[in-house]
Amino acid sequence: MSYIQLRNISKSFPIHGEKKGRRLLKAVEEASFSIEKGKTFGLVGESGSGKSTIAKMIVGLYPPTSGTISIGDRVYGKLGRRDRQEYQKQLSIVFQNPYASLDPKMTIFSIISEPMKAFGQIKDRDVKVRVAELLDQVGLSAEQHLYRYPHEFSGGQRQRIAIARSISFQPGFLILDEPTSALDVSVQAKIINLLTSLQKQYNLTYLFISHNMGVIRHVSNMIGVMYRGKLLEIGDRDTIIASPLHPYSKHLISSIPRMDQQEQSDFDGRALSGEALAESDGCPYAPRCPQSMEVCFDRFPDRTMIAGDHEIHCHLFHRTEG
Amino acid sequence: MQSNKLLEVNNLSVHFETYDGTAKVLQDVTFSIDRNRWTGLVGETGCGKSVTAFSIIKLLPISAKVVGGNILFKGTDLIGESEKSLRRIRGSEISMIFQDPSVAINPSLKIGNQITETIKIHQNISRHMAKERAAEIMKLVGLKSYCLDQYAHELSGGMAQRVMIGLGLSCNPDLILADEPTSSLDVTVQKDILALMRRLSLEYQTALLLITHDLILVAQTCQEIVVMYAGQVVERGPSGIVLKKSAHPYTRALVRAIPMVEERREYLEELPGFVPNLLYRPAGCPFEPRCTLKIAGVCERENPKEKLVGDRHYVRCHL
Amino acid sequence: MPASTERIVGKSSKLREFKLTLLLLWKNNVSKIGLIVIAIFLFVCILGPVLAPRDPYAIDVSLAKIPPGARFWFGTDLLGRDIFSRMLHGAIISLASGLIIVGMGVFIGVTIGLISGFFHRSIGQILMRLPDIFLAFPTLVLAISLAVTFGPSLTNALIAMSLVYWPPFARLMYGETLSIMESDYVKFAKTLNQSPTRIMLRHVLPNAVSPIIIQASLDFGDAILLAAVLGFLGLGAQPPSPEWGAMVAQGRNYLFDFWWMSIIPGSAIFLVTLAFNFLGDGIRDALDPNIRRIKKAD
Repeated sequence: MSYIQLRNISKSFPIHGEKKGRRLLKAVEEASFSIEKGKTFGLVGESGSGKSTIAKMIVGLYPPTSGTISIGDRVYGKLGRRDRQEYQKQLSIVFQNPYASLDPKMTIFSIISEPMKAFGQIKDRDVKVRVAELLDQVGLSAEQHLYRYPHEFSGGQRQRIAIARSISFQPGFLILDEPTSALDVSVQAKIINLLTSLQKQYNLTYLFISHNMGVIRHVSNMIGVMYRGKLLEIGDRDTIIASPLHPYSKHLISSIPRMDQQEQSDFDGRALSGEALAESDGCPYAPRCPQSMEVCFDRFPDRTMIAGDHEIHCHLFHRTEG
Repeated sequence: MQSNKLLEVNNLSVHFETYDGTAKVLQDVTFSIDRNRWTGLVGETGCGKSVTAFSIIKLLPISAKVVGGNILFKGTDLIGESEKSLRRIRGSEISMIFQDPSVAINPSLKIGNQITETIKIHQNISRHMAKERAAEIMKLVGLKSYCLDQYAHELSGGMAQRVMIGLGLSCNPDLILADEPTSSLDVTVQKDILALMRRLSLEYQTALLLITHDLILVAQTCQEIVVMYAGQVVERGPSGIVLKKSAHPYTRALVRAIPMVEERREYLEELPGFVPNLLYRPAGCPFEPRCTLKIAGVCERENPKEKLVGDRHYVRCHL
Repeated sequence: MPASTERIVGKSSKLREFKLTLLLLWKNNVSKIGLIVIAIFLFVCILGPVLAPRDPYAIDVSLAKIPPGARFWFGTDLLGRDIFSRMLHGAIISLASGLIIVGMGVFIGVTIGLISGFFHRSIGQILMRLPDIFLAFPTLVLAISLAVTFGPSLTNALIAMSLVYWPPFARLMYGETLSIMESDYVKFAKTLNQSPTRIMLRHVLPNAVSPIIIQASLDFGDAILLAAVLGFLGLGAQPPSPEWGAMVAQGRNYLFDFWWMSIIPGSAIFLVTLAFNFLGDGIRDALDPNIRRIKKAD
């Protein structure tokens, strides 16, 4: 029984200003996956894939158009007022841009203590000690920094503050939306190491979103590949990286720059070609897929289990019963 | 015999005047770019790589002052050149591609008009011929001709970036300075854009200076690499050697800090400490506070000079 | 994990930022003039009544219509009152009017803008039509109409002018609120299930205040001018109050014969308004991050 489970999560946004009634932008369609306690699920995809939308849905910023999220053995659909408080206490998020995720007018003491106070978890007299503890855990010294403002800190330091803020009320589940994409490589290493050690220490479950496959490879136990709102393939880290099955996964993995290869392939413009089909029931990758068949444009493939925890949505592997 | 060196930067030092004091942004920067080759200029935020590029093309802010060194382009020192002759060089002999296409492309002009304008400024041809050339360029970068009639905001990131590459190539420059040309793009789009740039630079015999923080990208695409830290060049040479057999502790640490798809480690290598404040330059090696291999007494007192350690491989280190 | 000793990157100090702002204001010649004139004006406002040589209300027809000279520096008006003393007493009316108009305008505008922006999908749409209605009328016309409707008195005029002043602030606040709502720190606050009021007051308001203050300082000069205009029309401070606009009105039929009765208070209004405009421009430039970062060679 997985700790976190998403079932058929979808999110559509109305597009305004369309002549023929309201069109819908289907940012996420029928995404389902699960995460075991203490593990990291890496969600990869390029821009427009919907991975950020999923993050925001899980953390409570958008209500899902349909689908459910389970935490432990509680299933949540659209959150009512009472459910919401209970739900929000169990998870938190770290955003991509450390320069925008901390309120510039608040001291970091206020920033870090805000969640605990909001959830009524702590008495006023204990706050300072707890904040100092949290700062220490993320590698910042309390005496120097407690009453300073975010603009006095570097990107890496701000991200640590954001992490301290997110774990302050002891949620079991942390969503990390590109937490290191805006940081230099040397700083990125420190933040990733920090996240790894915190995960070990508190048995935290992570949903790690990134477009950087190197980072995903390093942190994930399982990987899910998204394209234009649909999850195309899910599997464990090593399988997806070494032997991806879905044509898009293959394209993605092969596009990653690697240290020891001098890239010699010629320009084929595959990634740049073609506008996406506006609305179709078919596979969103079909227009660019080198192995697409007619059925790919008509119908989105159902789930096919390859082995154990490896699943794929692709007509090439779709086995029909009977 | 014509020298192979297209651009030589020698001992370039640049200062910025701020209200907090003088920031010594570049110190004694030396490297060269060969014709028809790709050179990677790498470093993290604040190391001075963008400033170096802007110095070459002389687009520094008012508060910047070149306090030493020279920049030789085909034998001529660009620092002494007048603004008038620089304007001629910019665009037709040296052009620049930026990270953010929305900055480089005029949002109020149609793409076609912008390319045509650029061509006309540098080449003395009729408007009609310039328009034809613009259409050629669109084809070259793989865009359909209807793009000429569109505005910048109507294009996707990849398309806008290709327009910028087109603009950069429109006058057949000898050298292109590319400042993080693919950082804002998806990885699959990046692969295609780089392949495109590679093909075009081969066809037009253009040299490229690729400025980026992405070491792996440089490993894949550039023959030479220049590594910068705190305004100095700490190591330079053939990219394969510099990255695999780094001579400078910073380069080595940087390579080890990158999480790579090919291998698995428990913890990533960390670089302790932080980049020094350029207002207060220490007398010794700027990397010294973070260096694990430093020689006590020497490294903090004396800034090392560059020395040759292999075939075209230079390093600035006491070790 | 060992705690790394991280250094503080930016020098703290709101004090340092403030000093830099003052320096930039002083270096800018235009705003320097503004600063000096305003300093004099403030001095006059506060100490004027104490330093005035004569009673501003003392009527003595035998001393009427005397031109400026050694005895009466600014001359006397139709009723023999010393114009210089009257101006010293009247300065503070202009200043207070400006403060009240802009203060009330900001208060109303910010409240409406904040609520509209926060609930921009529901009541915001309705609420924001209010500024639209007010802004459909030219400022002066609206102010005059309202003041006439309320009846001529200083209080009524101030209310009328505040009602004319709040709509731009509402729109500005609305825009700021919308953009701040998009920022990650507000999104995070939402994940804490905090009440809308709390988020509005704690996160949005403090961050939106900056452009409001800049706009208010740019508008201050115009507020003073508007108050003087209403005073000129007889809708503001009533006689015998030494309000500058009213003083201009009193002398308006005698511009050629006894020019000083209108021209002197009129010039004062002009200079003060201009000074505040210069200062406002200077503040806007001084707070521009590009100018703050780059030090031009002098």
